[in-house]
Amino acid sequence: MRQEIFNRSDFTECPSCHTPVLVKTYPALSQTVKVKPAENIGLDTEASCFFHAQKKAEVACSSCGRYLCSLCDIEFEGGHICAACLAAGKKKKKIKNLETHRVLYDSIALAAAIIPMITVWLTIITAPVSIYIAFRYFRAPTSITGRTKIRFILAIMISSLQLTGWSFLLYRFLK
Amino acid sequence: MADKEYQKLPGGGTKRKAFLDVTRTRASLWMGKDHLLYQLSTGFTEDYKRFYYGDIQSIVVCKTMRFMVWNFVLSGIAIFCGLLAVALKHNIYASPVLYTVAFFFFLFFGINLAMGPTCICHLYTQVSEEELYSLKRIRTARKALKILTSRIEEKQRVATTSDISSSTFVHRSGDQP
Repeated sequence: MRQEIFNRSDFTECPSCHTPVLVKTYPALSQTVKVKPAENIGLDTEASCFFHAQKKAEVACSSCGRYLCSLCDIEFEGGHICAACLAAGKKKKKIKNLETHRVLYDSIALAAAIIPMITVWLTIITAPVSIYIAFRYFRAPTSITGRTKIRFILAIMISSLQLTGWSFLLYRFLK
Repeated sequence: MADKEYQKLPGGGTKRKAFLDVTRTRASLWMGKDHLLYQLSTGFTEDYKRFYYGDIQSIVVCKTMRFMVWNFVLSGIAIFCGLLAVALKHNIYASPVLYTVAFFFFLFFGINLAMGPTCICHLYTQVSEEELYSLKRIRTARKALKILTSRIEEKQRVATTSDISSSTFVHRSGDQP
Protein backbone atom coordinates (compact mmCIF):
# COMPACT_ATOMS: atom_id res chain seq x y z
CA MET A 1 0.00 0.00 0.00
CA ARG A 2 1.30 3.47 -0.85
CA GLN A 3 2.30 5.56 2.13
CA GLU A 4 0.59 8.73 0.88
CA ILE A 5 -2.79 7.29 1.86
CA PHE A 6 -1.69 6.60 5.44
CA ASN A 7 -3.08 8.61 8.36
CA ARG A 8 -5.31 10.92 6.34
CA SER A 9 -8.17 12.53 8.20
CA ASP A 10 -10.68 11.50 5.55
CA PHE A 11 -11.21 8.66 3.12
CA THR A 12 -8.91 8.44 0.14
CA GLU A 13 -9.11 6.24 -2.91
CA CYS A 14 -7.09 3.05 -2.76
CA PRO A 15 -4.56 3.19 -5.62
CA SER A 16 -5.14 -0.48 -6.32
CA CYS A 17 -8.90 -1.16 -6.10
CA HIS A 18 -10.17 2.48 -6.02
CA THR A 19 -12.25 1.80 -2.90
CA PRO A 20 -12.42 4.71 -0.44
CA VAL A 21 -10.19 3.74 2.47
CA LEU A 22 -9.09 5.24 5.75
CA VAL A 23 -5.74 3.86 6.84
CA LYS A 24 -4.52 4.53 10.34
CA THR A 25 -0.99 3.35 11.00
CA TYR A 26 0.92 3.18 14.27
CA PRO A 27 4.64 3.33 15.14
CA ALA A 28 4.79 -0.50 15.39
CA LEU A 29 4.50 -0.65 11.61
CA SER A 30 7.85 0.97 11.05
CA GLN A 31 9.70 -0.27 14.10
CA THR A 32 12.04 -3.20 13.83
CA VAL A 33 12.28 -5.81 16.53
CA LYS A 34 15.76 -6.29 17.88
CA VAL A 35 16.29 -9.72 19.37
CA LYS A 36 18.98 -10.70 21.79
CA PRO A 37 20.56 -14.05 20.89
CA ALA A 38 20.81 -16.80 23.48
CA GLU A 39 24.43 -17.04 24.65
CA ASN A 40 26.35 -20.31 24.81
CA ILE A 41 27.96 -21.36 28.07
CA GLY A 42 31.58 -20.21 28.27
CA LEU A 43 32.65 -21.56 31.64
CA ASP A 44 31.72 -24.79 33.42
CA THR A 45 30.68 -22.82 36.48
CA GLU A 46 27.95 -20.93 34.63
CA ALA A 47 24.36 -22.08 35.08
CA SER A 48 22.73 -23.59 32.03
CA CYS A 49 19.21 -23.47 30.75
CA PHE A 50 16.92 -26.31 31.87
CA PHE A 51 15.75 -26.92 28.31
CA HIS A 52 19.01 -26.16 26.47
CA ALA A 53 22.08 -27.48 28.27
CA GLN A 54 24.48 -25.52 26.02
CA LYS A 55 22.80 -22.17 26.59
CA LYS A 56 23.56 -19.80 29.43
CA ALA A 57 20.77 -19.29 31.98
CA GLU A 58 19.46 -15.74 32.10
CA VAL A 59 16.51 -15.89 34.50
CA ALA A 60 14.61 -18.34 36.62
CA CYS A 61 10.98 -19.14 35.87
CA SER A 62 8.88 -17.24 38.37
CA SER A 63 6.45 -20.16 38.53
CA CYS A 64 8.53 -23.36 38.65
CA GLY A 65 11.99 -21.92 39.28
CA ARG A 66 13.69 -23.62 36.34
CA TYR A 67 16.65 -21.78 34.85
CA LEU A 68 15.89 -20.36 31.45
CA CYS A 69 18.04 -19.03 28.63
CA SER A 70 16.84 -15.99 26.74
CA LEU A 71 15.40 -18.33 24.12
CA CYS A 72 13.09 -20.07 26.61
CA ASP A 73 12.27 -17.01 28.68
CA ILE A 74 8.75 -15.75 28.11
CA GLU A 75 7.94 -12.31 29.44
CA PHE A 76 4.34 -12.41 30.51
CA GLU A 77 2.44 -9.86 32.56
CA GLY A 78 5.63 -8.41 33.96
CA GLY A 79 7.18 -11.76 34.96
CA HIS A 80 9.36 -14.45 33.41
CA ILE A 81 7.90 -17.88 32.88
CA CYS A 82 8.77 -20.96 30.86
CA ALA A 83 6.66 -22.43 28.07
CA ALA A 84 5.66 -25.42 30.21
CA CYS A 85 4.21 -23.21 32.96
CA LEU A 86 2.47 -21.06 30.37
CA ALA A 87 0.87 -24.13 28.80
CA ALA A 88 -0.11 -25.48 32.22
CA GLY A 89 -1.59 -22.11 33.20
CA LYS A 90 -3.65 -22.04 30.04
CA LYS A 91 -4.86 -25.61 30.50
CA LYS A 92 -5.88 -25.06 34.11
CA LYS A 93 -7.34 -21.64 33.25
CA LYS A 94 -5.19 -19.99 35.88
CA ILE A 95 -4.02 -17.22 33.58
CA LYS A 96 -6.97 -15.03 32.69
CA ASN A 97 -5.22 -13.36 29.77
CA LEU A 98 -4.77 -16.69 28.01
CA GLU A 99 -8.42 -17.67 28.09
CA THR A 100 -9.97 -17.74 24.64
CA HIS A 101 -13.32 -19.36 25.38
CA ARG A 102 -15.94 -19.21 28.11
CA VAL A 103 -19.33 -20.78 28.57
CA LEU A 104 -21.97 -18.38 29.88
CA TYR A 105 -23.85 -20.54 32.33
CA ASP A 106 -25.87 -17.57 33.56
CA SER A 107 -27.31 -17.01 30.08
CA ILE A 108 -27.98 -20.74 29.71
CA ALA A 109 -29.83 -20.84 33.03
CA LEU A 110 -31.89 -17.78 32.13
CA ALA A 111 -32.71 -19.13 28.67
CA ALA A 112 -33.76 -22.44 30.22
CA ALA A 113 -36.09 -20.52 32.48
CA ILE A 114 -37.61 -18.18 29.87
CA ILE A 115 -37.68 -19.82 26.42
CA PRO A 116 -39.78 -22.91 27.40
CA MET A 117 -42.47 -20.56 28.71
CA ILE A 118 -43.68 -20.37 25.09
CA THR A 119 -45.00 -23.92 25.42
CA VAL A 120 -45.90 -23.63 29.14
CA TRP A 121 -45.91 -27.40 29.77
CA LEU A 122 -42.19 -27.70 29.05
CA THR A 123 -41.40 -25.60 32.10
CA ILE A 124 -42.13 -28.56 34.38
CA ILE A 125 -38.89 -30.10 33.05
CA THR A 126 -36.83 -26.99 32.38
CA ALA A 127 -37.49 -25.13 35.64
CA PRO A 128 -35.62 -27.69 37.79
CA VAL A 129 -32.88 -27.82 35.14
CA SER A 130 -32.54 -24.03 35.21
CA ILE A 131 -32.36 -24.00 39.02
CA TYR A 132 -29.76 -26.78 38.96
CA ILE A 133 -27.59 -24.90 36.43
CA ALA A 134 -27.92 -21.66 38.39
CA PHE A 135 -26.84 -23.23 41.69
CA ARG A 136 -24.22 -25.55 40.18
CA TYR A 137 -22.43 -22.77 38.28
CA PHE A 138 -23.20 -19.78 40.48
CA ARG A 139 -19.53 -19.35 41.35
CA ALA A 140 -18.26 -20.20 37.87
CA PRO A 141 -16.75 -17.27 35.98
CA THR A 142 -19.10 -15.61 33.53
CA SER A 143 -18.11 -13.20 30.76
CA ILE A 144 -14.53 -11.97 30.91
CA THR A 145 -15.70 -8.42 30.32
CA GLY A 146 -17.48 -8.35 33.64
CA ARG A 147 -21.02 -9.33 34.47
CA THR A 148 -23.11 -9.44 37.57
CA LYS A 149 -24.90 -12.55 38.82
CA ILE A 150 -28.28 -11.03 38.01
CA ARG A 151 -29.04 -13.62 35.30
CA PHE A 152 -28.54 -16.46 37.76
CA ILE A 153 -30.80 -14.72 40.30
CA LEU A 154 -33.48 -14.05 37.68
CA ALA A 155 -33.29 -17.66 36.47
CA ILE A 156 -33.77 -18.94 40.03
CA MET A 157 -36.67 -16.56 40.66
CA ILE A 158 -38.49 -17.33 37.39
CA SER A 159 -37.96 -21.08 37.70
CA SER A 160 -39.10 -21.01 41.34
CA LEU A 161 -42.28 -19.23 40.31
CA GLN A 162 -42.88 -21.81 37.59
CA LEU A 163 -42.38 -24.67 40.05
CA THR A 164 -44.69 -22.96 42.53
CA GLY A 165 -47.32 -22.69 39.82
CA TRP A 166 -46.96 -26.36 38.90
CA SER A 167 -47.13 -27.38 42.57
CA PHE A 168 -50.31 -25.36 43.02
CA LEU A 169 -51.86 -26.94 39.91
CA LEU A 170 -50.88 -30.42 41.05
CA TYR A 171 -52.33 -29.75 44.50
CA ARG A 172 -55.60 -28.54 42.99
CA PHE A 173 -55.70 -31.51 40.63
CA LEU A 174 -55.13 -34.06 43.40
CA LYS A 175 -57.59 -32.33 45.71
CA MET B 1 -16.77 1.87 42.77
CA ALA B 2 -13.89 -0.16 41.39
CA ASP B 3 -12.82 0.45 37.80
CA LYS B 4 -13.94 -2.15 35.32
CA GLU B 5 -11.19 -4.23 33.76
CA TYR B 6 -12.58 -3.73 30.27
CA GLN B 7 -14.26 -0.72 28.71
CA LYS B 8 -16.54 -1.25 25.76
CA LEU B 9 -15.70 0.48 22.52
CA PRO B 10 -18.50 1.85 20.36
CA GLY B 11 -20.00 -0.57 17.88
CA GLY B 12 -21.46 -4.00 17.73
CA GLY B 13 -22.35 -6.27 14.89
CA THR B 14 -22.90 -9.82 13.85
CA LYS B 15 -20.52 -12.13 12.13
CA ARG B 16 -22.33 -14.15 9.52
CA LYS B 17 -20.94 -16.72 7.15
CA ALA B 18 -23.75 -16.21 4.66
CA PHE B 19 -26.69 -13.85 4.15
CA LEU B 20 -29.24 -16.40 5.33
CA ASP B 21 -27.04 -17.90 8.04
CA VAL B 22 -29.14 -18.53 11.15
CA THR B 23 -26.19 -18.94 13.50
CA ARG B 24 -25.08 -15.44 14.31
CA THR B 25 -22.11 -14.46 16.37
CA ARG B 26 -22.19 -11.08 18.01
CA ALA B 27 -18.92 -9.19 17.87
CA SER B 28 -17.76 -6.42 20.17
CA LEU B 29 -14.54 -4.66 21.07
CA TRP B 30 -13.33 -4.04 24.60
CA MET B 31 -10.39 -1.99 25.75
CA GLY B 32 -8.23 -3.58 28.40
CA LYS B 33 -5.26 -2.17 30.27
CA ASP B 34 -2.68 -3.38 27.78
CA HIS B 35 -4.71 -5.07 25.07
CA LEU B 36 -7.76 -4.84 22.89
CA LEU B 37 -10.20 -7.68 23.45
CA TYR B 38 -12.22 -8.84 20.47
CA GLN B 39 -15.22 -10.72 21.77
CA LEU B 40 -17.33 -13.05 19.66
CA SER B 41 -20.43 -14.17 21.48
CA THR B 42 -23.09 -16.70 20.49
CA GLY B 43 -25.17 -15.80 23.54
CA PHE B 44 -24.22 -18.92 25.45
CA THR B 45 -20.49 -19.02 24.74
CA GLU B 46 -17.86 -16.39 24.18
CA ASP B 47 -14.62 -16.52 22.25
CA TYR B 48 -11.87 -14.01 22.72
CA LYS B 49 -8.99 -12.65 20.70
CA ARG B 50 -6.46 -10.31 22.20
CA PHE B 51 -4.48 -7.67 20.36
CA TYR B 52 -1.83 -6.05 22.49
CA TYR B 53 -1.59 -2.32 21.88
CA GLY B 54 2.13 -2.61 21.23
CA ASP B 55 1.54 -5.11 18.42
CA ILE B 56 -1.11 -3.26 16.44
CA GLN B 57 0.42 -1.91 13.25
CA SER B 58 -2.57 -0.47 11.46
CA ILE B 59 -6.33 -0.30 11.21
CA VAL B 60 -7.89 -0.01 7.78
CA VAL B 61 -11.46 1.12 7.19
CA CYS B 62 -12.94 0.48 3.73
CA LYS B 63 -16.17 2.09 2.63
CA THR B 64 -18.71 -0.40 1.26
CA MET B 65 -21.78 -0.25 -0.98
CA ARG B 66 -23.99 -2.05 1.53
CA PHE B 67 -25.49 1.21 2.76
CA MET B 68 -26.63 2.22 -0.72
CA VAL B 69 -27.88 -1.26 -1.57
CA TRP B 70 -30.04 -1.39 1.56
CA ASN B 71 -31.32 2.12 0.90
CA PHE B 72 -32.45 1.12 -2.59
CA VAL B 73 -34.01 -2.14 -1.42
CA LEU B 74 -35.85 -0.69 1.59
CA SER B 75 -37.05 2.47 -0.09
CA GLY B 76 -38.02 0.48 -3.21
CA ILE B 77 -40.20 -1.92 -1.25
CA ALA B 78 -41.71 0.93 0.79
CA ILE B 79 -42.58 2.94 -2.33
CA PHE B 80 -43.95 -0.13 -4.10
CA CYS B 81 -46.18 -1.05 -1.14
CA GLY B 82 -47.26 2.57 -0.71
CA LEU B 83 -48.24 2.92 -4.35
CA LEU B 84 -50.03 -0.41 -4.27
CA ALA B 85 -51.95 0.68 -1.19
CA VAL B 86 -53.03 3.88 -2.95
CA ALA B 87 -54.08 1.88 -6.01
CA LEU B 88 -56.09 -0.52 -3.85
CA LYS B 89 -57.57 2.13 -1.61
CA HIS B 90 -61.08 0.73 -2.06
CA ASN B 91 -60.01 -2.67 -0.82
CA ILE B 92 -60.62 -2.50 2.94
CA TYR B 93 -58.39 -5.52 3.67
CA ALA B 94 -55.39 -5.04 1.39
CA SER B 95 -54.96 -1.30 1.76
CA PRO B 96 -54.28 -1.13 5.55
CA VAL B 97 -51.92 -4.11 5.34
CA LEU B 98 -49.96 -2.52 2.52
CA TYR B 99 -49.84 0.83 4.32
CA THR B 100 -48.48 -0.94 7.42
CA VAL B 101 -45.84 -2.80 5.38
CA ALA B 102 -44.88 0.44 3.63
CA PHE B 103 -44.63 2.23 6.97
CA PHE B 104 -42.30 -0.40 8.41
CA PHE B 105 -40.06 -0.40 5.35
CA PHE B 106 -39.91 3.40 5.48
CA LEU B 107 -38.99 3.10 9.14
CA PHE B 108 -36.17 0.63 8.36
CA PHE B 109 -35.04 2.91 5.54
CA GLY B 110 -34.98 5.85 7.95
CA ILE B 111 -33.00 3.86 10.51
CA ASN B 112 -30.48 2.78 7.88
CA LEU B 113 -30.20 6.37 6.69
CA ALA B 114 -29.66 7.65 10.23
CA MET B 115 -26.98 5.05 10.97
CA GLY B 116 -24.95 6.29 8.06
CA PRO B 117 -22.59 4.74 5.50
CA THR B 118 -21.21 1.26 6.00
CA CYS B 119 -17.67 -0.01 6.07
CA ILE B 120 -15.43 -3.00 6.65
CA CYS B 121 -12.73 -2.62 9.23
CA HIS B 122 -9.51 -4.63 9.41
CA LEU B 123 -6.89 -4.69 12.13
CA TYR B 124 -3.32 -5.64 11.23
CA THR B 125 -0.46 -6.82 13.37
CA GLN B 126 2.88 -8.12 12.15
CA VAL B 127 1.59 -11.68 11.98
CA SER B 128 -2.19 -11.43 11.73
CA GLU B 129 -5.11 -9.73 10.09
CA GLU B 130 -8.57 -9.59 11.64
CA GLU B 131 -11.83 -8.27 10.32
CA LEU B 132 -13.60 -6.32 13.06
CA TYR B 133 -17.26 -7.18 12.64
CA SER B 134 -18.31 -4.76 15.36
CA LEU B 135 -17.28 -1.77 13.27
CA LYS B 136 -19.67 -1.80 10.33
CA ARG B 137 -20.64 1.86 10.18
CA ILE B 138 -18.21 4.64 9.36
CA ARG B 139 -19.43 6.87 12.17
CA THR B 140 -18.92 4.12 14.75
CA ALA B 141 -15.57 3.16 13.25
CA ARG B 142 -14.37 6.76 13.49
CA LYS B 143 -15.46 7.01 17.13
CA ALA B 144 -13.76 3.72 18.02
CA LEU B 145 -10.62 4.66 16.07
CA LYS B 146 -10.35 7.95 17.92
CA ILE B 147 -10.45 6.25 21.32
CA LEU B 148 -8.24 3.40 20.22
CA THR B 149 -5.61 5.52 18.49
CA SER B 150 -4.86 7.58 21.58
CA ARG B 151 -4.42 4.41 23.64
CA ILE B 152 -2.26 2.62 21.04
CA GLU B 153 -0.03 5.63 20.45
CA GLU B 154 0.37 6.17 24.16
CA LYS B 155 1.45 2.53 24.63
CA GLN B 156 3.71 2.45 21.58
CA ARG B 157 5.36 5.71 22.56
CA VAL B 158 6.43 4.35 25.93
CA ALA B 159 7.45 0.98 24.53
CA THR B 160 11.10 0.64 23.61
CA THR B 161 12.09 -0.89 20.30
CA SER B 162 12.71 -4.28 21.86
CA ASP B 163 9.42 -4.23 23.69
CA ILE B 164 7.29 -3.71 20.62
CA SER B 165 6.52 -7.37 20.07
CA SER B 166 6.92 -8.47 23.64
CA SER B 167 3.45 -7.90 25.01
CA THR B 168 2.84 -11.58 25.45
CA PHE B 169 5.63 -13.78 24.27
CA VAL B 170 9.23 -12.90 23.60
CA HIS B 171 11.70 -15.24 22.06
CA ARG B 172 14.82 -13.17 22.07
CA SER B 173 16.79 -15.43 19.87
CA GLY B 174 16.44 -16.32 16.25
CA ASP B 175 17.35 -19.91 17.21
CA GLN B 176 14.72 -22.58 17.26
CA PRO B 177 14.10 -24.37 20.53
